[in-house]
Order: sequence, then C-alpha cells, then structure tokens
Amino acid sequence: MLPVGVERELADIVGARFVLTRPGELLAYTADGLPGYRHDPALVVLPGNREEAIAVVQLLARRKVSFVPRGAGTGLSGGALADGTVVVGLNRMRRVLDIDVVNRWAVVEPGVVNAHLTRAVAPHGLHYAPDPSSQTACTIGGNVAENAGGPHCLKYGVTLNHVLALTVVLANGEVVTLGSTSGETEGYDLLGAFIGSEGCFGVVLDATVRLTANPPAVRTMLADFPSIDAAARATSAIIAAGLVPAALEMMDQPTIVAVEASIYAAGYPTDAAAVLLVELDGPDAGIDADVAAVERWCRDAGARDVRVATNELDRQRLWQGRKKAFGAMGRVSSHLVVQDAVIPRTRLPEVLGEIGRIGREEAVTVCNVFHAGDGNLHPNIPYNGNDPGEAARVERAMVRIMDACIAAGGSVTGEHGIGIDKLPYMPKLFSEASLAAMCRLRDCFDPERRLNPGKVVPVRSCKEWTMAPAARA
Amino acid sequence: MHAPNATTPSAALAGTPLARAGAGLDLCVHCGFCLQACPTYLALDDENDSPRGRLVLMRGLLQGDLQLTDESVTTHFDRCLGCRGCETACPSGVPYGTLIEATRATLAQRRPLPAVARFLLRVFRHPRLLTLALAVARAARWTGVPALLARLPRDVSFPFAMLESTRGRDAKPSYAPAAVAEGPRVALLTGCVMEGLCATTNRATERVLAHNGYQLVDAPGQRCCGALHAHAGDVPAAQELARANIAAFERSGADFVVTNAAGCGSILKEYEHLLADDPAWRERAKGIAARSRDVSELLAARGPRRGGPVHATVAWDAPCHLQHAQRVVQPPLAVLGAIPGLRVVPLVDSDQCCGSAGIYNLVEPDTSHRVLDTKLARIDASGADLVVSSNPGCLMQLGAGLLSGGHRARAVHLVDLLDASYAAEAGPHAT
Amino acid sequence: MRDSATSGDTVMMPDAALSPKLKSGGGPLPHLRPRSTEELAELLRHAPPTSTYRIVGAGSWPGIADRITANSLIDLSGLHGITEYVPGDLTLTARAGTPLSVIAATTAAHGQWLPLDPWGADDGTLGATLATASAGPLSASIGLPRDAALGITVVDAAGTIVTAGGRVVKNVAGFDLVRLHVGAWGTLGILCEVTVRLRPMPAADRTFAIALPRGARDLATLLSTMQRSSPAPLATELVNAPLAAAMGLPAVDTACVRWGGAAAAVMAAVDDLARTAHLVEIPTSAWAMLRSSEPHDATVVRYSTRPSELPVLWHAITHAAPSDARLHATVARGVVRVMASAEHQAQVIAATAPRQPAIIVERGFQLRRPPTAVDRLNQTIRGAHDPARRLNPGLMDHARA
Ligand SMILES: Cc1cc2nc3c(=O)[nH]c(=O)nc-3n(C[C@H](O)[C@H](O)[C@H](O)COP(=O)(O)OP(=O)(O)OC[C@H]3O[C@@H](n4cnc5c(N)ncnc54)[C@H](O)[C@@H]3O)c2cc1C
Ligand code: SF4
Ligand code: SF4
Repeated sequence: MLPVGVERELADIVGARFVLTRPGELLAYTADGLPGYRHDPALVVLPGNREEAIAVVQLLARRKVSFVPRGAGTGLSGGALADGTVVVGLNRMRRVLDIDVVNRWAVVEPGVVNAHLTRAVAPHGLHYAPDPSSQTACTIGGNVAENAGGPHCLKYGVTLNHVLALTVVLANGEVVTLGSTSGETEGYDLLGAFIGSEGCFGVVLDATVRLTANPPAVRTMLADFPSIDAAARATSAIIAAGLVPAALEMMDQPTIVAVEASIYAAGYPTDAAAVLLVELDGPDAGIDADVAAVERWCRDAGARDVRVATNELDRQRLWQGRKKAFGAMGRVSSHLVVQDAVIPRTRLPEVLGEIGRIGREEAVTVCNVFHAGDGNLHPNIPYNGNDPGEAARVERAMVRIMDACIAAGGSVTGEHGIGIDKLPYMPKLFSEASLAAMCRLRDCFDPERRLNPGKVVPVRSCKEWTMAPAARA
Repeated sequence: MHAPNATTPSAALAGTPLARAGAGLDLCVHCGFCLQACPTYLALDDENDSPRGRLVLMRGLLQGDLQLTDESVTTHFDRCLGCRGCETACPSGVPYGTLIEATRATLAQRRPLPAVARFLLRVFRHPRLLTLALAVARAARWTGVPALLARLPRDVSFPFAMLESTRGRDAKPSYAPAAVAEGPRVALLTGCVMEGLCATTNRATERVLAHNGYQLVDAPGQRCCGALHAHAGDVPAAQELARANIAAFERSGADFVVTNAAGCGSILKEYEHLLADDPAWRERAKGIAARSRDVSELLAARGPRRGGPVHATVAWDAPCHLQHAQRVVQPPLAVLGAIPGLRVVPLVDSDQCCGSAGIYNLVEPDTSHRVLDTKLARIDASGADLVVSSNPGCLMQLGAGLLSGGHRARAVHLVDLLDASYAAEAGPHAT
Repeated sequence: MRDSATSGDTVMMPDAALSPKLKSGGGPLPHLRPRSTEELAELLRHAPPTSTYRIVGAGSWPGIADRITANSLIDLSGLHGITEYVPGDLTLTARAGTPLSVIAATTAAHGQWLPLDPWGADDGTLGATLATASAGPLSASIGLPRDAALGITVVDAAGTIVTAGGRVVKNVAGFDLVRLHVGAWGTLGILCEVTVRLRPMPAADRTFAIALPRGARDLATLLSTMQRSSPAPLATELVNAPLAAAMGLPAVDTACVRWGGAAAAVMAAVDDLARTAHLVEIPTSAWAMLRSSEPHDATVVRYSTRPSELPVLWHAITHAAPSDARLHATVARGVVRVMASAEHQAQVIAATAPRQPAIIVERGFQLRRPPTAVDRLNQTIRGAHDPARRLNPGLMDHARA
C-alpha cells in the first residue's frame, strides 16, 4: 500500500495521464521480457523529462516509497518488476541531447532506444557499438543498468566500455555526475560500479556514450556445420589463433528452423546442425586474408560450406535472423526458458556436449543461440508448461546446465543480469562474505534500500550485513 | 527462467471470437520487438497502448482477470490503429491483426460502437446512402467551403481538410496506351471512397494498367469492400459485402482483381479468412483472394514501362495495409523507379502508420493527430515536395495534415504520379 | 612548500606526510610480507586496532609514500606468480605482486600481451597497476586498466576475503566490485589476485615520430587528418621538446604514433598519413623511455579537456610551464600530464583556469576544494569499507570535508 496522497502528488508532477493505478492498466507492467515472473506494481509513473524524473524520485524519497526504474521492459532476468512498489518508467525521456561528431560522443536521455541512437548518428559515419539483440526495443538506460552486451561486443566491448559519464538521481533525490569524458576522475570508479547495478544504485537521467566510427570494410560469413561440436571447435580455433572477429555467433538446428519459419527468415541452411555467423571488420587492407583464414579454420573443423554475404541487404538479412532468433522461438512452444551462462572459450566443445547430453537425458529440446566468441551461452528450452512433468524436467535440466557451466569455471550471467531469476545461483558463485560486500556497496548508494528491492543479491546476504553504513562524511 | 505463458480461457468468454483466436496469444514471448513499431505506443508512451500491452490485456480478458465492461481496458483496444505494424516486427508470428479484430468483435457483442462509427459503417454498408453521402461531399468540395473551413482550428476543421485534400488535378492527362492489350484481364475494385472522391485516380489506374498491356474488364455489382466493418468488429456486415463482391468479380471473368486502395486490397486477400465459417462461400472466397493484387504488384510484374521525366523530390510513405497486412514492399519502389527525374529521399519510419486507419481519425481524433504530427515532422525532415502513398485514407490524412499545418509537401497517389509521368512522355499535344 | 591559493575555492596543500606534525618518528616502518591471501587476511584480522598500513607492490610509484600517514607497511612482493594462464581463452590470473615484466614475458611466448602500460617501468606489479588505474598511452585505444580486469580477490580492512567477477570475459553476476577496487588505491581492500583479459599481439607494431615545430598549430592540423586513420593508432602521445630530447629525439614538440595490426593494414595507415605529414620510424622502446621519463623530484599534474580542445590547452600549458618542464598528452583522451615543481604547477593551474580543464594531482601536493555530492558518496564508500582509515590512510581522502 502506498502512503496516502502519493498518487495525487505524482499526478501533480507528471500529469494524471502518466500515473497508472487501475488494475487493468498495471497488468502490462507486471512482467518484462521474461513473463514467467509476474509482480504487481502498486502504481506506474511516467515522468516526461529530467525535472519531472528528479521531482518524482525526491517525492518518493520524502514519502519513503520503494521504486523500480523501467526502460522498455525487455530485460531477461525480471529486473524491472515491482512487487507492490512503484514503477518509474523512463521511456518518455527519449531525446538525443547532443552529438559531438569530432570528439565522438553523444549525450542521450535514458529512454532512447539503442538502435535509434545509431540511427541518429549514422549520417556522420558513426554508430553506438554495443548492440544487444534487443537493440530495436531496449533503452540505453536499461543497457547501462544491465551492462548489456551484444554480438559486436566481442571486438568492441560491452556497455561498460562505451559509457563515459552518467548523470544519475540517487534514491535520496540527490543528483550526481559519475565519470567524465576523458575517463579522468578523482575518487573511486563510481561510473564503473554503477554500470550493471540493475537499477539498484540510482536512476540514469542522461548518459554520455562513446560513438564508434563505422569500419571501412566489413565481411559477414555464414559457416555451416554438420555437428555442434565442429562449430564449437571452429570457434575455439578462431579465438585461439588470435584473430578478433567483430562478432562470432552460433545457432543450432532447432534455432535455425524457428528463424527460418519467421518473418526474419535469413536463408540459413535448415539441415545444418549448427551455423556460425562470423563478421570481420577493419581497414580494407588485409581483410580478405582474414576472411580466407577464418574460412580455412572453419573447414578444418569440418564446415560443409562457408559463404560471404554478397551485399549489404544480404548481410542485414543474416543479422536480422540472428537478432530475432530468441523471439522466433515463441513459435516452437507456449513456454520458454532462457539462460545466459558464460564459460571459458576453450571449454566450448566440452560444455556444449554436456548440455546436449543433459537435454537428451531430461528429454527436453535445447535451442542454442549465442555469443560464441565470448563463450556467452544462451541455452533456451521451449516447452509446454501445462504439462507438469515436462516443466519439472525443464527445471532440472536448467539447474544441471548452470551447474555444468559453473563447474567449467564460468558465470551464470554474461549480460542479462541477476534480477530475480538468477538469485538462487549467486551463493554457488560467491561466498557469503563476497555477497555481503556487494550489499555494502549498494548501501552506500541507497542506505534505505528503496531502489529495486529484492534484486541481484539474495536477501539473506543483505540481512546478515547488519552494520549500519558508515556515517556520511 | 521463464515459465507460465499459456492462456487458460475463462468460461465467461467461451465461444466468443476472442476465445477462438486466443491460441495466438501463446505465441507472444514478451520480447518487446513490437513496441517501437507501434505508432500508438510512440504517441502515448504507455505500454498499455503497445501491442505487447494489448496482448496482455486480451489475455487478461480471456482469463477472466479483466472485464469487457472495464473502460480502462477497452479504451486501449479502441486506440489501436489496426495498422499491423506490430505483425511485421514480430519474430514469433503473433497474428495480431486477427486477435484485435476478434477482440473488437467480442467487444461489439457486449457494447455498442461509438455513435460516429455506427453511423459511418451504416453509410458504407448501404450503397444508396453511400452514393448520396459522397455526392454531398463532392458538391461541398466544389463550393470551396471546405477549403475555408480547413483553416479553422484542427479539432473542427480536420474532416474538411481531408475533403479538400482530395481535390484532383485540373489538367486531365491523356495518352494512348503504348502496349497492345495482350496481357491478363483485370477488374478494378473501384472502391467507395476512391470512386466517390478520387475518381481521377481510378481513371489513372485504368490508364497506367492499359499502358502496361493489361486488359480492363468491368465488374458491375461490386460494393464497399467491407474492410472498415471488419476492423471495427462488425463481422456480419463485412461478410455480406464480401459475398456481393465475390459474386461480382466471378462474373467479370477477370484474371486479377486489382485495387489502388491498400485497405481494400488487404481485405480482399483476407476474404477467405472472413468467410472461413461459411461452407458455401469459403472456396469462392479463396479463389477471389488468390487473384487479388495491389496495382503496384501488377505494374511491377510488367516492368513497369518507363515514363517521361517528373522533376520532384518524393518520399514513399507505405500504407500499413500494403506494407504490413499485404506485405507488399518492393513493387511500389519499382513503380517509382520507372519515373525518370524523380529524386526519391528516405522517410524515417515510412513503414509506420499516419494515424488515418480507416475511420480511426474520426473516432479517436486525439491519438490520430498525435500520430499524424510525428509523421508530418518526419516528412518535413525528409525534404520531400511530394509524399507518395497508395490508399485513400492515408492520402486524405496526410493531405489534410499537410494542408492545415501549412507544410510545404503535398500528398499524391502513386498511380497519379506514374500517370503524370506517362503523360509527360507523350507530350502536351498527345491525345 | 607553502600553501598557495590557486583559483577560487581550490587550495593547494602539501602532501600530508610531509607536514612536520604528521611525520612518523623516522626510521623504517614495521614491515609485513604475507605470502598468501589467507596469510594477509589472518594478519589483518588479528592486527592491533591502532595499526595503519601503507600497501606496497614493488614500491616503484614515486612520491606516493609522502602522502600516506601509515605506521606500518604491507609488502605484497611475497604474493607473486601466475596462477592460471590458458592461452586459448586469452585470460590470465596472477597474484597481485607479480611484475608486469613477468606477465609480458610469459604471454609473449604465446603471441599475446596484456596491453597495460602504466607510467613508470615494467617492474611495477599487476596489483599496483590496477589499484592505481594508471593509464598509459595505450589507454587511448585499448582502454583503461579497469577494462582489462575480469576478476579479483581482495582482503578488506577487517581481514575478510572477498572475490568478485571471475575468469570469463563477460560477466555481470552481482554488483561490480571489480570496478570498485580498480583505481581505489587499496583503500577499500588489498588486491591479492587478479584475472585479466589478454589480447593477441599485433602482427605489426610500429611507431613513428612526427615533428610539430609550430606546436599547437601543427597539432591541430595533424589531429584533423588522423581522425580518419584506419586502423586508428594504438597510441598517439604528444611530447614537448624537453621530453623529446630526454627520449633521444630531436628537441621539438613531437607526436609519437603507434600502429598495430596486420602488416598490410598498418602499412596502409602509415602511407596515408605520410601524404600530409613527415613520419620518421622510431623504435618501440621509445614508449618505455617515455613512461619512465618522470624526474623523481617533480610534482605531477594531469589536465583533461575535450580532445578537440587539446591544441588550445596544450598551447596554454606550454606557455605557462617553465621551458625545461616535461609535458606530454594522450591525444585521444584529451589528457595532458605536466611534470614540474609545485610552484610551476601553480602557475600552470592559474594559466589554464579559463579553459576549465579537469585537474588531477598525481603527486607532490593535494588540491582542497569544497566537497561535492560525488565526494560525499566517495567518502561514504571509504567509510563503509574501512571506517578507521587503516588502509593507505591519506589516499582517496582529498575531498574529505
Ligand atoms: C529478444 C531479446 C534479446 C536480447 N538480447 C540481448 C543481448 O544480446 N545482450 C544483452 O545484454 N541483453 C539482451 N537482452 C536483454 C535486454 O534487452 C537488456 O537487458 C536491455 O539492456 C534491457 O533494457 P530495457 O530498456 O528493456 O530495460 P528494462 O528491462 O526495462 O530494465 C532492465 C533493468 O534496468 C533498470 N533500468 C531501466 N532503466 C533504467 C534507468 N534509466 N536507470 C536505472 N536503471 C534502469 C531496471 O530497473 C531493470 O533492473 C535481450 C532481450 C530480449 C527480449
Ligand atoms: S496494429 Fe498498429 S496501433 Fe495496433 S498495436 Fe499493432 S502497431 Fe500498434
Ligand atoms: S514482437 Fe511479438 S512476441 Fe515480441 S512482444 Fe511483440 S507480439 Fe509478443
């Protein structure tokens, strides 16, 4: 329950149309990109600009109300869900505030859609490099909060490597600037600590992000393999050889079939056990030698065919298929689980083999579509949730797959975040002391723990951290 | 992890169109790819006015969590343009168009449509009323009064500006068909608004088809296509009109039924679906649907023949029912490509709805105008003198918006532009 | 050194340990040299409450000891050695006291490198490089030290062992304690073990000197040409005449440009630039000379601005600095580093004030200014991790109100 009058006071700030309280209108905000979790918010407020956003957060601070920032709600860990608290939607704040072509950075509001930023700077031959597959929908604010990655992060780095500065409103309503365009700041790397804090440290009001020059030459290759193992071996070989492709993505047969049935059909061979989508970019000089080398490594690993996109249209089609693959899986079955484990790249053949084995033993269909070059796996399992037996097998398979990845020296999330979905795995990765250290940091940003409560670190660990945050200097 | 998604229908809605279409909801994985493709989400900034949000609401209705009488729910369905921009963004193949029509049909069983909508749909259903209404409109346009009224504040003036925007060119291009009519036989769905207010475009359509070798045949007895009724949830009326048209086109003996109005074309192609429950008509509907083509498809199939130069900067604004419903994307560009001298500039979000959406602009003027404003700003930014489209609703909406907002650009039908190009080739003295 | 007001509310203060009242009784500090993470944790858990610690890697950071007011010393040289290196994964885990030179030699054998080039020499340790986040010329292209760190093990002031991150190249599990500790100067905990991301060594790695006799004016021209260079250089560092001379180059403002990549690509970039500028190839060892060119008695201040403003800032600084001061600039980041006496620094700070560069004092003195909201957040963090200020006291406290 919200304190009396909060709704009206919020309406005074943003206008009544942008405060939602009726059950029917809250329904759309009960889930993010992972609709297996549903939490009912008490209220949704949609500030339209920076001043409104600050006023909203300050009001919530005064009235001691917990809240959850939300971008486009494409998150895959349940991070943007609010359980009886307030959702602060940032989607209305979607202006590109400044584009500095010479110094190659842009200042954007948090609700700017990732792909729209690239569209805005394209006339200058620039782009925003982090390209999550959800880029046509997700927001920069959400990307910052999740430290989002994407296919091209293999060469260009993740969100962390592309954000120069942030203006943030903290839970107590204070506005701070973290980081700087030169990367020079006194004090701790608060910018680095903030990126990936999953909406628990503050609300992004604007982000200054690096822009990247479009490479003069790009070659996109599709390699077709008779087995997953062969594709995994090719991946390991390419990485170990020291060539850094711009992107190196893998899709297995069930994924290919789903994509080819969709509106984003890309002409992938449906009879291949797996394909690799490899992109090389850089200066014109030398690129074709690299293409030849990649082709050779693929063929050595057993590729049946390797083709290079013939033109820009062809290239975009190959990419669209990959980027919409997760969505395309909706057509396989009514339910879907998705994971985001990361493993050392040399372990790919072995772990993918193990995942296949687990799938067979539990009699579930695993669709693999993932950032192979980074070792960032996305084993997805479409299934019929109305069959309790199958649901139980899926649950078991998922835990076994995660355990296998952890055992291989990996992590449970490479880009989707912990949210609520991966909380149970945290104690498998970190000691109680390490989890308490995370809580300690969160308490520095939000001592009252009103921002996105219940996410990222299991509550148990935070409770055990009883020491009050040190007196503020 | 991500689990329950499947819908378990509640008893309350059993047997309704929504319950029958409900399985389509299970395809949605909640990925959000459709959000930015949805003009109403962009205009209103509320996820309830996004495709994903509306699907959640539909599921809520179906499961009995929400009530059909809850206006805070139904208003979001009313605000849907039915443009189906979400469908061509959806990797999972959610049949949104079918779902929204089913939702509206279900709603229509429980509550009356708004008065404006009921009135308009009645007019379009009755040939004589329609003829009369369009004649009145033409007469009004002739008086020049709408042109004056169009300058009033937009709330009252918009319908007049729409009417004013349909005023055809004064000069009537004429040229002799270049090709011998040895091609397929085609019958034009003349369409009620097209024939009533844009007859010049219908004549141009006949000329450019003939110029490309098609043989034109008449199809007397044809009526309104029924699209407006189907989209608004008045399925019986849509079915009645469909049967009349199927019979008329069968009689005409045409190889193709051609339309120059994207909205009409899309419903023609969906007649089979519309009459799926009618055993006597299902096969006949399928036959006509399979032979229906947008005029750009037929033109592109035969080239089209190149014309004379038209010096203008143009931008293509795809009608939703062409781009998203019929998924005809390349042919209109091929037609533009046949006109020398044109400078075709890109229009950002050219695949997004202009807010016209059948009678939507008259029923939901606020949202319609917001959507239109975005479109007009994009048009200004493109630098085009002419916005080319191919649906009367879109052309009126764009035309009126451009006119009353004092914008530089004008809206023109694709076929009229091609027609002008052919006339230019023939020269001023051609007959 | 006297306290000298510089501009507005900013005040120059001598380094804490130099002020007479804080100077410890002289003589060497009690010296602790743990040989494992566990031993270090044990040591801190049982330490007397009054003990404060100066944390030392190889002890090569000049002048830093002056700023730290600790009464004992923890020497991390006992924590050394590479604990895991899987060349196929391009990741390496090493204990904090491992010198960069050891890592360089090990990885070079597999055609890989850790592209961190902190100011100073390669006998600096991995732990100190990350703790200080010292960003050398390569930071302009390959990234800051924080971008190289994948996982850490730290021991906090209470002697608790905390791990964060991991050994994989992409990881968002939990709040980012890795970034928190990189650049924290050991004040939040002592880095004991670190996993870093390696890169394939570029097939060709060539460096060229371009003389800029007209200083800032030539610089502006060069920068506009270089914007389009593909591949972008690995490093572009501008050195002034005295520094160029110290590096064995002709005594004139000089841009040192380093390209790495496929031989053909580097060749093409060089040829391209050679059309408008006179390039002289110099040995790659020039970079090591540059990094260790810091006079031991100098104070060091960094100024930063928009890269496009660099020529203007460079001009202002070169005119305000004494003719023998050594200065250099990391061009792509818009950072100028000035090595001079404290008095001269005050002149430069005053002369650049109209350009409003961000100023960071590396050593020699501290700047006191009214604390901002960010400073308060920093102090909250410091206080939450080390309430008694036992680790490297005196550091990261500059803006304490
Ligand atoms: C089909 C599909 C493909 C995907 N592919 C990728 C991929 O390749 N790589 C990848 O990294 N992710 C991917 N994702 C996950 C998701 O898109 C990203 O996590 C994205 O960054 C979320 O952005 P959003 O705007 O939707 O945020 P939301 O889901 O709305 O929120 C995510 C988190 O960010 C917080 N947040 C949002 N805005 C702000 C703000 N302004 N200030 C502070 N906190 C905020 C929220 O509280 C929440 O914790 C994919 C998702 C889908 C559905
Ligand atoms: S049909 Fe158009 S308005 Fe309706 S939900 Fe889909 S995209 Fe939005
Ligand atoms: S794009 Fe399709 S699957 Fe994704 S949220 Fe929209 S309707 Fe659902």
